[in-house]
Amino acid sequence: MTGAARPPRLALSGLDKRYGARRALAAVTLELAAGTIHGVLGENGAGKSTLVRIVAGALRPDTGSVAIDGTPLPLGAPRAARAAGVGVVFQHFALIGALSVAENLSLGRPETHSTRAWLTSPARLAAAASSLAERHGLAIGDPGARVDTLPVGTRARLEILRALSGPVKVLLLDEPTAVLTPVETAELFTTLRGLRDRGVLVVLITHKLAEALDVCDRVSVMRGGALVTTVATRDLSPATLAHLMIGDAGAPASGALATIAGTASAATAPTATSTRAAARALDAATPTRVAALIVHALSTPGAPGRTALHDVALAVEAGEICGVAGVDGNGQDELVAALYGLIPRGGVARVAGVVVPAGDVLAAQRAGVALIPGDRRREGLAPGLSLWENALLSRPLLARVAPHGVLDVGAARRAAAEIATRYRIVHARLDQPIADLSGGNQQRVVVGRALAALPRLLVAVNPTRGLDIAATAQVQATLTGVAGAGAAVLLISTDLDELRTLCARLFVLYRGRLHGPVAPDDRARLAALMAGLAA
Amino acid sequence: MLRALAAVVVAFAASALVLLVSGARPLPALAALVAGAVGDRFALTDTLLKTCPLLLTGLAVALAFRCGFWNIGAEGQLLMGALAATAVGRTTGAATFPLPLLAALGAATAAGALWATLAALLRVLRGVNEIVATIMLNFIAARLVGWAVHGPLMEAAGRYPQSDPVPTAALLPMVAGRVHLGVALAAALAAVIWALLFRTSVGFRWRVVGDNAQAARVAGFSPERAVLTAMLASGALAGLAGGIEVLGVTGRLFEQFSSGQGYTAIAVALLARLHPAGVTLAALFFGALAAGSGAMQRVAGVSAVFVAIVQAGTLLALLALEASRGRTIAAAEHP
Repeated sequence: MTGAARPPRLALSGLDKRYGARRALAAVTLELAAGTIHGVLGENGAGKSTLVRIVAGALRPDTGSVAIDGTPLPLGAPRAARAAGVGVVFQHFALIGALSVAENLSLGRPETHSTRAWLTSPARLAAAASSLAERHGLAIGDPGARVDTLPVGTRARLEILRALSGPVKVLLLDEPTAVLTPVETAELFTTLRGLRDRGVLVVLITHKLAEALDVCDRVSVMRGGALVTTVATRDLSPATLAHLMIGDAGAPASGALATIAGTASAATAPTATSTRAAARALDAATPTRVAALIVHALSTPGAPGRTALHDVALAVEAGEICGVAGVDGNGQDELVAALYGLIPRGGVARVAGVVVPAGDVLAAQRAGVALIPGDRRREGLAPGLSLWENALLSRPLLARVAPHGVLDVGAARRAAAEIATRYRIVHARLDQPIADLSGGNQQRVVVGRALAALPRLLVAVNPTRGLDIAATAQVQATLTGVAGAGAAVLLISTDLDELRTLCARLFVLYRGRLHGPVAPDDRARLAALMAGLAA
Repeated sequence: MLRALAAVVVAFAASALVLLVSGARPLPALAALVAGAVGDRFALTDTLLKTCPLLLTGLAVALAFRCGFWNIGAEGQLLMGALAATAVGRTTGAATFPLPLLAALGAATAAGALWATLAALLRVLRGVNEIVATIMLNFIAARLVGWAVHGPLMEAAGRYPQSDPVPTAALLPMVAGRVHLGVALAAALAAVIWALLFRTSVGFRWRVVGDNAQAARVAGFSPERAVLTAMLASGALAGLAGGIEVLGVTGRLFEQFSSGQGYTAIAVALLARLHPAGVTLAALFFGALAAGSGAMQRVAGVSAVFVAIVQAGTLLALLALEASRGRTIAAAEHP
């Protein structure tokens, strides 16, 4: 850190933020020096975005303070934050597509709100835009071009320019590379290095390990709302970073760098004996069981915001919980959507020997696939409908209580009540709107519904994310029970502790390719695969 | 229900103010309005006749909205229904009752369904915004009716832009006085639509798709198919409304056939919170207003257009009440 004489450029102390029972930020204290690029890493829900919003003044923390150059910042005041020199590039670009480059850059700029700017002209705006771009050495092309005609890389530069239009001391970027191509990302990093060299503190929020190591001087790792550790990147290997990010049940959360670094060096060169032992253990389990799911040469097309899957091969046995690990955004969503028929795919998938046609949810359901979606609010529930209706929100279940298309409300409510009882869903009435239930109870509905279809293959995506301890334990016990009853379970999770607890074999998704299997206790190899270091 | 009543009260209070400002005495005017709506047998008949098209189009709009399809096209679908009923009723009228009637009603239903399906197909296949599509189809339907009554369907006398009367064999029989069988049919259809929405798997899918299309897709329900079937049913109802109006009330088609019932239907459906029972009550309310407005004009000298202020005021008050409630919920969820 900087010397005792000079206060740090950005000081966060004791930041806490709760949403109901969930603690989004837990006592985050961090001091960052001017003229550095600092990475903040963590999985979805680790608290990164909450942190950004607090510093930007968009969100008020429950407790704690933020100071810039030693001066405390009024909290929850975006204008004050801007005035103090905080610039933010949010994850979802806030540019207005129908306006020109120059018009977008003029939005929110102090000088355009002076009385003289009451009247303006395209020429004046264009001149201001060009001079701003020149000052920061960022190419914006034609200032009169409509923003929605520009490539995303240019839009990213525009966002940054907009954030830089004031006297910026701290520039926060929330996952700016999510929509960029590698070339555009490299350009962005050059820009960020330039800003650093001119004394700006750049804070880069990301979950991409390679990027963090590439451009950041130091990184902080967040997990479950808490700051796990802060380290200099030159001391760090990707595997170590992966370890820090995904957590490690065996090691204390922080201060154990030496131990972890030791494991990591083993990761880059796994010993032949351990690998062979793992392979033997896997082989031993294979022949006696029936494969419930066989996937061969599965691929999906890439698209903006989507990861293409390449040549995925996978076999899951009846009675097995097979895990898929990986950092978010490496193709998890696509794998699930492809298996469940939600998106087109190439390759062959068989469930219990039956070929499941691509892009057909009904066919997947008929073959015995059930899904616990990762985003229950978006994909799992109809918030305006009642508890009992949501408990039957699945075509096979509905068909059971609606013979010939006529809904037998009595039977439907009995079926829903059975799910509610079996999965201990806390509710007042079956007619209660599902939105009134707590997150844990909503998830119990989603889980109970998936299992009520008596699946041969259950695909579960982060089934315990955001749940409290009791609900987590219950959901995990349920998954074990399903497998025990003879179904195959494909558990896709970013929580490595959960995968280790539940799974006999793990695979790792990295950039759309599936690697493995790996024995769950082979931490070194897991970390290496997740960081893209080994094939 | 409470909010709807509150909205009605607010609207009447505001309307009374408008009456005061315009120099009329509110109480006698409102008394005339009530008398004209429910005061005697004649008034009640008028109310029921005005209610019938509003009930059917209100059901049509509620059904489509439940499925997440913003059907602003009940007006056009009603007009197409009226046009088809007139054309088929006139051509088949020589056959014996009730064949011409059934043919005309069937044609009205099919025409409305077809008109609605055009908008649904545009959205499902091409991603066209259904609000724009249905409004544009309303204009086209109005022009088609205009063309028909100046052209192929124009009366033999050739004097006015209207059709000749539909033969008696194609007309709806009366059940009491001027109250035709269509009123009973509409009331029965309200019950049918309720059952369809809440007691069948088709209705279940419509509601799920309207609430969360992505969750519906994951559940194995095709949102596209749900939109198409919902719009078939919605258009059929609105088309039937037009057919019943021709075959039960006017007996012929003419320019400016609809007084905007297809648009009032949106207010009816929203006031009813998209529930068929509520639609029945809201349609009765708006039907009574429409019936009473004539009496008010005769007795108190207040223009019948005044009723439009009450209608619009009710809807605005309701939306304001709903919106403030929505904000409260949003604030509670995202502190």
